[in-house]
Amino acid sequence: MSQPAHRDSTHPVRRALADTWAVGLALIPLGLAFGVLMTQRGFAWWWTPVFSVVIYAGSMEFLAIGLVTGGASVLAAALSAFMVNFRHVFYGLSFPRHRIRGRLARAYSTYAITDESYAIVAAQPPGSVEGRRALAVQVICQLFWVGSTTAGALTGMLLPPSVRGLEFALVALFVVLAMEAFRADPDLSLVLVPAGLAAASWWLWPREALVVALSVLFLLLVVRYAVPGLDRLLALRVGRGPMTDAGLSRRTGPQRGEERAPGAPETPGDDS
Amino acid sequence: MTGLPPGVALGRTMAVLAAIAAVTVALRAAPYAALRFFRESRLVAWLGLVMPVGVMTVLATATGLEAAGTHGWWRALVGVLVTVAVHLWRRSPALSIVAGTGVYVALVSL
Repeated sequence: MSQPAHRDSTHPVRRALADTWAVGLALIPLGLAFGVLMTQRGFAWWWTPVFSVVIYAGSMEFLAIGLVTGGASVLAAALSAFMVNFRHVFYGLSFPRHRIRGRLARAYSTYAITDESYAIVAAQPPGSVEGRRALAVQVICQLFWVGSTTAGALTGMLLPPSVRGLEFALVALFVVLAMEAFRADPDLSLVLVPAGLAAASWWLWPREALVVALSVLFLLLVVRYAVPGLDRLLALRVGRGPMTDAGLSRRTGPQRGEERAPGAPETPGDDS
Repeated sequence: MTGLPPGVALGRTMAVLAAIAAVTVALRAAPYAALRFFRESRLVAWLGLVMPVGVMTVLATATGLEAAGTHGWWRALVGVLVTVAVHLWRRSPALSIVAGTGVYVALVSL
């Protein structure tokens, strides 16, 4: 196997560990909370690794607890997954999957593109991450995640039932993700309108609130795109974020807009 | 023994998990299947910019209202405010989540 020239002779897996450990440690509290919650909701401990492997998208796993226990339809589950994970569509545009050898390894890499693995690789200088290192970053991320969720499920069995309220980790996670996404496009209407939608559907159709609010939001955003006048009317821009001249680049600049995926650190650009 | 909570059917659970997994993997595979489309579509670029804020706000509101309904609105409000404040202060997602959840768990359990 001839190796592509790389600047550093360190083993790619070792480099991947150095890239990943800080993010991996940050995943642990959330993973533990997910596992504990699964056990508290009445799932046997081994359902936790099943969720973490089959879904493998942190926030969607939390939501899946409610979907499964609430008896949601398959359609509602698919729709929620589409809305919650839509951002992943951008990660493949710059992830160096083409450098990963082997059909199976590539398939794994496609399955395992998460916010974290994408962000870690995107933070490296363009073109510097070879295939084995990118793949190792993904494997290490998943080991951290599945390990901590499973550990949470097992500790959940030891926690006294008087400890309640861990489901709030989900609220806190979404608050943080919303704040991070807001930085990319500081338009207050993108916070106020969805919050109003969610509250309204919560009052009107408590059982279907999530799916109703997400569907209406999607339609509204498509209409805003199609009718620039409506978009200008609704936009409530604050501060000067990185996309403050977004009124322009939002519409005219896929060449610019694509360079960084939303919610992720700036990518240095495409490396191919 | 399905290991599921009482009243939750195995078949339905597997169908829901499979649907979520299929949609998630399809989204992750989409750019490789149609690189040009996803790179050049303005609608996709627009959605990528505005959807995350909107979707996360919907989810934060819906789950926050559920917490407010279970354990009282002021506890949920304090939890959210602590999360926001710590995040504005340090901008470390793990720290913000641990702080907000910790305060909420303390308020609810004690």
